[in-house]
Amino acid sequence: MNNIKKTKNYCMIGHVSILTSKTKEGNKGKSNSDIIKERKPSQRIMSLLTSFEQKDYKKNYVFKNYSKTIKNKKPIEQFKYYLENNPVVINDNELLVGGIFLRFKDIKMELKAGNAFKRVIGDSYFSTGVKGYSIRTPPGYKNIIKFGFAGLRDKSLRLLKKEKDPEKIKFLENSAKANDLACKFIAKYSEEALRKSKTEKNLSRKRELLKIAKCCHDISVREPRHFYEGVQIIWFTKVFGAVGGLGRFDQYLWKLFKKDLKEGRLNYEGALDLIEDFWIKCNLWNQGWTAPNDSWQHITLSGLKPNGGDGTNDLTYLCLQAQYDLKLPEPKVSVRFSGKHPEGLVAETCKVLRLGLGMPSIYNDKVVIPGLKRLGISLKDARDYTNNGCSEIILDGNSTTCFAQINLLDILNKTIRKKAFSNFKDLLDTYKVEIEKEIQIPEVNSVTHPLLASTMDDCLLKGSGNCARYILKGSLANATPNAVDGLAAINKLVFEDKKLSLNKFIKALDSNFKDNSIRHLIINVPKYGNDESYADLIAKDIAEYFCDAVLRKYPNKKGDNIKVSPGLLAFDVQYLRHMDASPDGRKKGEHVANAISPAIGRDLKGPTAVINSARKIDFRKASYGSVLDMVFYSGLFSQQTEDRFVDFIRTFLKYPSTATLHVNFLDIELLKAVQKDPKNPAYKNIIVRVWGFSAYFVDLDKDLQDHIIKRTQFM
Amino acid sequence: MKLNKSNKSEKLIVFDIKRFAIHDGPGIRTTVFLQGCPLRCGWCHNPEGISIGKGPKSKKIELNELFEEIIKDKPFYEISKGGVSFSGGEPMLQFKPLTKLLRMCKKSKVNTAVETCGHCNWEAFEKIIPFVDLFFYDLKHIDNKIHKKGTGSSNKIILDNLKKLDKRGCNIVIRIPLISGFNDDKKTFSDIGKFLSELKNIRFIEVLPFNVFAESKYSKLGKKIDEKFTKILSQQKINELTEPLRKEIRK
Repeated sequence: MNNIKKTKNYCMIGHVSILTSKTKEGNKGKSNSDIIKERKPSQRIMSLLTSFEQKDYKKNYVFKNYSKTIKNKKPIEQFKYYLENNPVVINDNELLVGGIFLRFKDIKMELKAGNAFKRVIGDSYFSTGVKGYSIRTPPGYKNIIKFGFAGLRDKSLRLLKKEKDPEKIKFLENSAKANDLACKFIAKYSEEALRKSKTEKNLSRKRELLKIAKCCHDISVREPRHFYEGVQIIWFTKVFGAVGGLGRFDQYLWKLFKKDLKEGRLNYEGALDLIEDFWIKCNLWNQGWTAPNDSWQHITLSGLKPNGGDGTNDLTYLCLQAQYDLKLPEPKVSVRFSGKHPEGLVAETCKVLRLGLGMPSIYNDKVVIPGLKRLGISLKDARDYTNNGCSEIILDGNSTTCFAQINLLDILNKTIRKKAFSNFKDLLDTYKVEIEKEIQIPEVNSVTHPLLASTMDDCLLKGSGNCARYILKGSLANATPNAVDGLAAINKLVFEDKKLSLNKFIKALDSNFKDNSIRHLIINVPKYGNDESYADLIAKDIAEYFCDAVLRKYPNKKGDNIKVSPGLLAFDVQYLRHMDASPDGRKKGEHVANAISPAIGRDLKGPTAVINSARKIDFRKASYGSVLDMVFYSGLFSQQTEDRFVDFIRTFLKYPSTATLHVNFLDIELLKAVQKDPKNPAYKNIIVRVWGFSAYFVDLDKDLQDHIIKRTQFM
Repeated sequence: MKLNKSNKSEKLIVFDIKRFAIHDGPGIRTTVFLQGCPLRCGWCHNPEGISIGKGPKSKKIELNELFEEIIKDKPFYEISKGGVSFSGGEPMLQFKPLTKLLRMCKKSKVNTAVETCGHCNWEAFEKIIPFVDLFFYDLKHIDNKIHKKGTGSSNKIILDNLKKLDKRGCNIVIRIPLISGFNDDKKTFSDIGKFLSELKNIRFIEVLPFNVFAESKYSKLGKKIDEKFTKILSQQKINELTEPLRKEIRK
């Protein structure tokens, strides 16, 4: 917090600049972003937005006694029941149709022994309630666009004719059946639209209803051939229960868009209108994991194409424009930067970021793709990466994923109490052994959703929900930055300066720093995130050691579709604040850092120092993902200085550090005011980035709100 | 970059280093605040940096060490065409070691800027000019009497040096603090405008209203700031006051 006071005097308030004849172009503060423009969405979109705010949409989609009814059924029967009972409703102004309902049930947090928290899921289900379907397995949207559900059904039937293995026959039968059910469900929408059109008096709406009818009819019998059909079938996939990321939206829809544009069927305005319709839909069903809007509806834009070219296209910019126009928390948007991206893409992305929605998040292909290659993933597939809806890196449409995590700070707390150490190296070595012992990987998960399994690369061909081309098993380390700071403090105070014994150090921890003088000593030791080698080199050592140890303990075999993937990410870290006091000077109750971002409030040298600290770590080793969070004061950049922010991001991309950067533009004082008066309607629409997601600030629980407020704000 | 051994004993007295400075010249910069100032402006927004030789936050730092700190953000300078800025206090008070450090920065292709009140011997500028890409030159008042009353010093040498710097073709940005009870009148800005319109190398003029966050610094130092300086002017008032300046420049 000191940092804010210290640096506040650099904010230019009331500052006037006068240009002279000698002023150079660069000084005029000209933004080099000129694709995304101030504009108002169409009348139809504005009306949709209004009805969204009234929230009368969702009323149409409530199921009664759903979970009880489907409880003991097989997945295919559950899916059938879901579709048969999903009401066919077309709302006013909609062009995209279909409603979904998602919800969690019985999620409880339970305190496990040893300060580790585990989310206990009771009789829970998500989305359509299909048993065992992993909430983090996005379907193969590419194949849905390529074949449609009709095509996938036919493909299943074709494969079925040749298949002899009874297990595989069962799988293919279910796939065929599920895809057929999907087609029939879509056809019902066609009929409904046609029925409505007959009584519709407004001519233009009548035309729209006929358009809906034709679209739904066509995609119920064949693959989508137009952009509108493409967007609609993607939305239906969500209606059918798809969760997890939405993949590379601008890539898999590009061909349809290009063709429509060329043939004069569509213009940019029309395409943007459909994209915005899709965006609004994502906001209607936004239930999440840790908070509303932790929904995994995550769209990835741009990045390298499988053939190695840059994927930036007109759809990339239209999606950014939609985000800019609507300013909604859903869907989450990420932009991948390939290194071959057009220069302007950075400025356009920054323009959206500066709205303060915490989006888009920024992915660096130069870090991610070499990391995936190390696991034995083909270059072509590695270039087609996306995220699972949060920050975990997966492959678009051909990988399932699940993960386990360990808590490095908790391990450190235990290690230092283990024995007497003769020197720091002794302690560090013991710690590393303990880390390796604790490293875990999750169980294999198969795609149990009979429809979505058929959309994934290789599942149909191999006749099993276990046979996605890759099964990524993430192994995560959380609280890493706090552990690093703790190690630095012990090294400095106990072994180098001999200011206190390790026993005294531990006693201070046991008393939760009753004696503040020891805590004070700890706080003054260099910390990770300040571009000082003392702590940063420990960070490099520990972070890279963890990644190497994961792959040493669980090596990836050539030709095996299971790939263990280490990640410097964190999950549910807000609950770790209940951990005991730790050697980094953190008291019980204080938050730990997210992912590989500096410990909260410990980075005092500004954003460039944070990036430089991180850059010392080879994040290609953390193939499952690595995230830096950053908070800038919302008023920091003026028109004259906004290009500095763009250049900051350019530097982040040119000199690789983490895979992902999240940037918040916030006014912490304002957020504190919101906490005091959360019902104030003026605060309703404040959106913040949490980690893998952005959400309305007022919807977050206090733990998460505090985590955001306490992060260092650069001013 | 190899470090120069002969710089080892030379030091600069620094009271703050601010990285990711975005208001002190082009691009992303590191601003180094040097201790000590010949002027005594009652509204100074860095009162902790005024006393010469030593201040409450000051530290003597070896040139090599300081250079290493500056060079850390080189990637950011490179992309944003930024660099290092020296502010204060008054950097020209320590021009000898400063010139050496600036030479090291230029050798490493780091853009350099110096913010100065202009109150020093011309010889000092002569030495430093080859290593400075941009001067931020503070201009407070044209009327010598008022200047002397507000800052404790005559403005003669300041105005002379500015003319000379301009003549030498240096890049100059003029910074004018707009302080109520000192120069918040149209005539001052008209006079400043007239003076500046004679010069040829002014890139930019910045008018900086009193920094409200400076007030808390005074109380921390156990000092009191004259209340008349702390009055906050509205943007409209600021625009009105600076209009004559704009007019003169446009001529």
